[in-house]
Amino acid sequence: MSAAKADAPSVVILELCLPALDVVTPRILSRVDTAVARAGLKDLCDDVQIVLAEALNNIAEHAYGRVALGAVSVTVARHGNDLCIDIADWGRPIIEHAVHDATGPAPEDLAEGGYGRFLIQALSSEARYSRSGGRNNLFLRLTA
Amino acid sequence: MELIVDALPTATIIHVNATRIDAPVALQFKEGMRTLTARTDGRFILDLEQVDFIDSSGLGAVVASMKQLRPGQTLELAALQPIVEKVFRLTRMDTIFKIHDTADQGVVSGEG
Repeated sequence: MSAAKADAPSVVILELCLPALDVVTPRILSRVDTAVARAGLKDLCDDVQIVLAEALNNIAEHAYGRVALGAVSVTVARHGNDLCIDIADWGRPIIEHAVHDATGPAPEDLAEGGYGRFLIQALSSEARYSRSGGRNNLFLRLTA
Repeated sequence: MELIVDALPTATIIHVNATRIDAPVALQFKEGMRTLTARTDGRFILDLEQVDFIDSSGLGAVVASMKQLRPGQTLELAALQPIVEKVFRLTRMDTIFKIHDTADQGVVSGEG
């Protein structure tokens, strides 16, 4: 552990576990928004909303799809001026989270999708996906 | 998701009476836009003043709304709120759409 990190302990500001459904996503976003603002990281609120919406949509659509209903757990921690978000689900592997996309679709292609992974990457200082024991883990760090 | 139409002589303003264009309503939005834009030709100005939030599904639905237009029809955007503005800027879709500060300004700019 670096000295800087030892100086800034990680403080969990919100933990929740709810169904991974697109209609539930706004409720999760709203609770995270309130917690982030209360933690004094108001400047990160907009980016957190954008990033988290894409991650949760990917889980609802790709991990569970239209055949299964499952849970998503979200843990938000403040680490100094960073916000660390751990998102876990128990669905299928999420290829969309595993790839890197530094540019997104070309605007002139008028793509109707495929922006999600790019938006996550563009607004996060760290975005790490892993799969272990039948579980998808997405770790996101946003820096104020 | 409610779309309210204001038919002016030089343009049709479509007010989005919702705070979000996101995954749960994206398809409904696209279908609503298809119905409304099928009725008239000319300029459409999508007024996003009430819309606080858009995700990639919503962005895709706005793009689809433009792609389903006929020749002689155009879709412009107005009153992008901070998150909406950021999503359009990051994805560079702000280079594809004509964007006005307000719907009224959009109407005036087309009359010049």
